Formats: sequence, C-alpha cells, structure tokens
Amino acid sequence: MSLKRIFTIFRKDLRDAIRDARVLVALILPLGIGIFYNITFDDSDTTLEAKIAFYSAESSTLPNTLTGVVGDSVDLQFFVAESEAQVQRELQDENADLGIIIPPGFESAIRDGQQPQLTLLQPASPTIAGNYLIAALDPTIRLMAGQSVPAVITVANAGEPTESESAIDKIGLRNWAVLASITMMVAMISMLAIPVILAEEKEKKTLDALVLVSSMREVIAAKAFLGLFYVAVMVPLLLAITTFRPVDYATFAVVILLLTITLVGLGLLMAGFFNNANQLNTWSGIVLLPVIAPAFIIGVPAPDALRTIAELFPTGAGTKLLMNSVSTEQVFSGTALSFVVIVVWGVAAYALLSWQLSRRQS
Amino acid sequence: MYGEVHAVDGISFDVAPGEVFGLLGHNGAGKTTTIRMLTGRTRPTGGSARIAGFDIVSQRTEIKPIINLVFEEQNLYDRLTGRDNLEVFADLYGAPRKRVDELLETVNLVDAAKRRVKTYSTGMKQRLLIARALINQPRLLFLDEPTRGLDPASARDLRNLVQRLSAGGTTVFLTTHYMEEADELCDRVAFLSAGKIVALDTPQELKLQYGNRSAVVLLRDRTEHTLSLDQSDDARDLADWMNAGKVLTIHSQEGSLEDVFIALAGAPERKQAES
Repeated sequence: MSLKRIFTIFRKDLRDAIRDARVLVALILPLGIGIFYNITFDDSDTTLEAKIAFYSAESSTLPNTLTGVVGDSVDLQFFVAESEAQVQRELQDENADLGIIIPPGFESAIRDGQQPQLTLLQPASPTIAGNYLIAALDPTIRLMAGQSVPAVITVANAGEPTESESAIDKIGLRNWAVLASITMMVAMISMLAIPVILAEEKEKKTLDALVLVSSMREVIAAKAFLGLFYVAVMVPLLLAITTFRPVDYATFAVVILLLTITLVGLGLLMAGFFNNANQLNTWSGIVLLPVIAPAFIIGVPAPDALRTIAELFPTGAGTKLLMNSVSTEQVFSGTALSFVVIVVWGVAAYALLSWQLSRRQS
Repeated sequence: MYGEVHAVDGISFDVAPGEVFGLLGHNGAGKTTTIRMLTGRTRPTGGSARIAGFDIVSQRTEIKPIINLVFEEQNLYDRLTGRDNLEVFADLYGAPRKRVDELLETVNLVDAAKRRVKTYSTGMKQRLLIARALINQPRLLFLDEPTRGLDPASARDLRNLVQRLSAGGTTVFLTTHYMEEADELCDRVAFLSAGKIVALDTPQELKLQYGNRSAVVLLRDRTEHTLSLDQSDDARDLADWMNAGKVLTIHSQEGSLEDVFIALAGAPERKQAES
C-alpha cells in the first residue's frame, strides 16, 4: 500500500464528495439535530432569578440573611428604593418579583419578641420566584431574631434507582441528547456518507480508473480516512456550538475514534452490496435505524431485554462509554465489555471487508 | 469465466511494440473481458498473458505504470474540473504537474480546464479521458470503444491522435464496433466470436481472404451490373461485354472489413440464435 496514493485519493474525495448533496445532508443533519436538542433540552441552568424592591428606613441585615437562606437556588437582585412609594411603583410596573418594606425599629423589635409588622408587596401576577422568596422569609426572620432552625429536613429516595432510570438524571437530559446526536453523527458519516461515496465510484466506474493505478485496499483506506476526517471536524464543531464539555476527554476521544473505525468498516462493507449510490441512499433509513436506535435507547428507561440488545450494538456500547466520559461519576458499569463489543464489531467488519475485496479481485 | 460461461476461451495472440492492434467482435464476444484481464481488473481462471514481459497476474505492480486505458464509459469526476481530474491521476502515477498542462494542450482543453466536467460535451469528456490515459506516457494504451458516441469531427481527431501515438512508439490495443475505424487505424486485427479468435491478420489480408471481390460495370445502354470476380459466370459475362465493346466503365471493389466481420463473426442475431 502506498501512503502517497492513499492521500491523493483522500484529497480527491475531500474536494469531490463535499459537493454531493447526499454527503452534505449526512454531515449537516446530525449537527442540526444536536444543536436543536442542545437548545430544547437546555437544563444547564436551573437557578431562579428574582428581583426584590427593598425599602428600609434604617440599615437592615435582611438582604444578607435572605441571600444566605435561599443559597444558590435563587439568584437574588436587590433594588434599594428611596421610599415606600417607589417600591409600590416597581411592583405596579412589574419590575420586581417581590417588594419588602421594613418599618423603623423592625430588627430590634423582632429580637425583643414584639412581633412587628412586615409589609410584602407582590406584582399583579405573582411569580414563582416571588412565592419562593415569601416562603423563605419565615426562616430568614427567625435567623434575624436569633432563633435556631427548629428542625433539619432530609429528603431521601424510598429505594435505590435502577441504572437506566438514573442515567439521564446523572448526566442531564441535554447532555444525553447531545451525546446521542454525536453517536448519530458518527453513524451517519460512517454508514451513509462514506458508503455513498464508494458506491458512486462503483456506479460511475471511476473506481475502475483508480484501481488501474492503485489497489482496492488503497481506495478503501482513503475512504476510511475520509470518514475519520469528517468525524474529526464535525464532532468538535458540534461540541463548540453546544459548549458541551466531556469530563474525561481522553476516553471521549478514544471511544469516538474506535466507534468511527468500526462503523466505517461496516459502512464500506455495506457499500459492496449496493450497485449505485441512489440505491444505497434509498435503503439508508432502514440500514441506519438499527445503528442509531441503540444510541437513543441507552439512557432512557427501557425494558431490560431491549437495553441488553442495544448494548450489544457498537453504537449502544459506544453511547454507554461516552456517557461515562461526560460524568464525574460512573453512569454505567461494564466499561471493558463495552470496549470489547466495539472492537469485536470492528474486527468482524474489516475481516469481512478484506474477504469481500479478495473476492472482488478474483 | 462468469458462472458457467467462458467469456474468453483459449485465445492467443501477441502485439508488437508500436503496433496498433484491433480486437473486433459483437457485444458479448469477449472484448471487454480480454481488456479487463490484461489491465488486471479481472483475474483469468486459466492461461497466462504477459505485457512487456511481465505476467499480468503475478507482476501487476510492474505493469500498472506502463499501461493505461481509455474506458468505454466516460468515468470522470463530474464535480471536479478537467484540470483536477488530470491532477489526481498525475499524482497517482507520480507524473509531474507540467504533464497536465501538456495534455490539456494536446487534447485542446486548455480553455475549459477550470470548468467542472459536468459542463463538458461528450466530445470534450472523451478528449479528457484520452488525456487522462496518457498521463503516465503508457507504453501500452488500451482503447475500449473510444469513438462511441462521438461526432464525426471528434472521432476524426481521436483517430489522428492514435496515429500520432503509434508513430511515437506507443503500442495501442483497440476494441471498436466501427470497421472503417479498425481498417484505418489497425496494423492487425483479430476477430473475436463467442470468446474465441476466429481470424487474425492485417486488414488488407483479411479483406482479400474473406471479402467479396466485385466489379461494378456500366454498359453503353446505361445499365449497371455488379459482378463477382470469383464467379466464373460473371467473368464470362464481363469478357463478352468487353469483346462486344459494350462496356463504358468498370470499377473494381475489394471486400470491406464489415464483410469479413459478417463472414467470420456472423450477424449478431444469428450468433444469439446459435447460442
């Protein structure tokens, strides 16, 4: 095999194939889906935002105490008004979620147990953040009065969550959806774009011209490199657009690499059974279904049998490994087995491809 | 062999350096299979063949740089430009880039070099195919139906190019349906029928051997008669007309390669009926 010839064919494919609408769709569609999921399932920021219009005749520790009570669950913004009337205006204009008017001597009165009056104002349409803050005021004022919290409340699950039920919870819906899109992207490049390019070479007999000077193995190697190149460009592009960041970059990259090599082998093998690119394009939906579906089944609650079958597919095993690589904790066990599944599929694909090439040459 | 069919069966021939050799026959006679075997794209199930002394099966690597082929199909990369198409193959063969410029000039495609091939006419594509086949300056050039679909002017240009290549020492192996073309270009032709060579000689010899020699005689009474020179009755008639002074003109006609083809390979319908 000549690396120079492989690179020449690779370069030719790079310039030629990108002008093929079928290849373009295979590249852009999963990118678009990934971006769509990223926007639709954006669960990265669940913090409530709340604005409080606040008036106090004298200095008050309420803002600081309230901020400490709600913690990170509410992003508080205080607007310090110059009068009670200004607080009212802010609420009437719906510029704030809650208005607090603290009368003179309030803090000393609560410390003395005098039960002073505290006036709260809500906008015409009360907000979730405003209601949340009202609920948080009682412990806040107790703290200001020097009282300790009467009880510490702990919430626990009744039983241990199953693996499938907790997978999305562990990495988040958005992360899961973007990961599934990445697997879909690798599958569409490997099992649609690359096979279409090879099938078109067969159909138009340009393959005959290539093998007049190079070998079939060189042509196949060039197509495989093209698949790797597309994945190496498109996956980082999707990561950049979605600002999706794996925790373990090394594992993430190795899994993507292995998955691409395996699926490209399967795709090139498949291309051998089709006489032309349009035929392959027509059947691609049926071919891609069992390849892409396991990536989506992994992570969602599904019957055990279905999940076991999905895990035996390279995309299913790959998605498990990818989900582990984006979480600080192990989402799925059986890491080694998942790697074995991908490698076995890859070895089988390239062994069959080699056999197919030998038959073709004879 | 394709299944139980012998596409080519026990053919034997040799082609001298610089010769233009024609392989003629019906569709399915085995011409393309012969070229596929000689160019290494189909492995023969038996027999042997050598190109420039190299075995076509075991020494493919040595043969690849010294041969090239103008395919029957216009198998170009339509989305690339003409120049891109040539540069890809120049790189594959390790030919210098200036060779691309030379060939674009040779086939008169300099002006269209930067256009995508899908905008080319059939004739332009065929010229580009020829340029591609010459990129490695092959010692042996295979031409598989090179003028099929071409207009007469383009076909004439191509025939001139083949003659120039042959004069320059390139060996040309040609398959064609056009007998006039084979007659004009080929030093020798072989007739292939049902996978076997049924005749192999120079076009001249084959025409003399298998052609129908005749004469068209115009008499003073303005009647025209076609006489076979191989029939004794016709020869006697001609002698009588001559003696009687009735003959105005005589035009001798030698057989054509088409006659030879029909005589040796038979009409396609007949061959199909026989098989």
